[in-house]
Amino acid sequence: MQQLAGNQYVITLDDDPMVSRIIEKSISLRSLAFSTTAEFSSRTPTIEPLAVFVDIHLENDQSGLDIVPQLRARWPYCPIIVITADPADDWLVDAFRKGADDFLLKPIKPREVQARFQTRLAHLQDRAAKSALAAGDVSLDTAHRVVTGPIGRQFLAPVETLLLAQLIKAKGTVVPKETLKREAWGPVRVSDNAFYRKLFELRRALEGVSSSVKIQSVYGAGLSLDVQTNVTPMLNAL
Amino acid sequence: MAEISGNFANLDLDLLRGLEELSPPGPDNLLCELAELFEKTTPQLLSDLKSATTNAQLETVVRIAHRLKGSAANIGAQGMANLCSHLEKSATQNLTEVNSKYTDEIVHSFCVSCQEIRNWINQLKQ
Repeated sequence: MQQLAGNQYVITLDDDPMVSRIIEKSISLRSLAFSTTAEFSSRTPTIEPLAVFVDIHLENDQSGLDIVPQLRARWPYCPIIVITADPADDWLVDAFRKGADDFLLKPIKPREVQARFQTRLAHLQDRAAKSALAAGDVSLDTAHRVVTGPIGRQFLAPVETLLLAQLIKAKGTVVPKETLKREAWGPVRVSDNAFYRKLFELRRALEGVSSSVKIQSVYGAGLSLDVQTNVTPMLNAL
Repeated sequence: MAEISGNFANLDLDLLRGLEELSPPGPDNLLCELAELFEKTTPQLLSDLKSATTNAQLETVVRIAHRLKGSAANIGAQGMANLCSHLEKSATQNLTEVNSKYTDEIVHSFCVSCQEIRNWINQLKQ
């Protein structure tokens, strides 16, 4: 099994406490166990699991599937593996539609848990790596729509994310305004006013994360991402 | 692995061997822990199941039978899991008398399965 840091863990949502213990032992990772969707939902803002195992049929007629879309939106690259005791379960189709990545049938077989967990984790980590962009000391996670820098972290609107992604990919070259509009809004006609409003929001978000990465307007040509290199320490050393 | 003999007709021995591989013998043995969990959590469910069957609360019967099917299968109590599966289906079809018969058989199978699992664990320890 790949080496994982000691503070990493998975989540198991199942009303049978045995399931969490079997999963924990199968993948040699701590499993935080929840038995109801309400209990799990209340904790999601404060946890970052490596994977989530969700039983489809829970106590009191609850369905683990109800929480899957919420989990997928929060953790785009976290494997979500649903568990069911019924191999002919129509719920499985629904599970995949809602964002699940894989499934396990009860009885839970340790080797199967290991294999599915490792495969899904590798696949999603590969996808996550492809969705990360960086310019200078700023990094953009396009899946979560989060831009991060030395000063802070900001959430972006979808259009702002697309605009910044285009500017980062252009690597400092000037991107025409019409190209940016097309990439961010698609075929929809967008006024200059709407475009500059979004640009204003994006500039403000960038200011909140870094002082060395800025969007420059090049009159009559378009926009570019300016990455300033801090040369002061080098000058001081001379 | 030690040679094991005895009557384990209700158990899925391949599954139990798989669980045994996960944890070395000793106080933290996973199989012992799972057996204890199974013995501790099942009686209440069986009591609820009997009550629901008697009162013809079919949705509750289906839900508990499904829950018991999963737990029994996870600990390798395959005979009990099969009975729970039958009950789940008969309750869905509203077969009241059949439900009552299966419920009694499940209670009996639980006692037999627990005994067989304990015997299995004891033999592994020797």
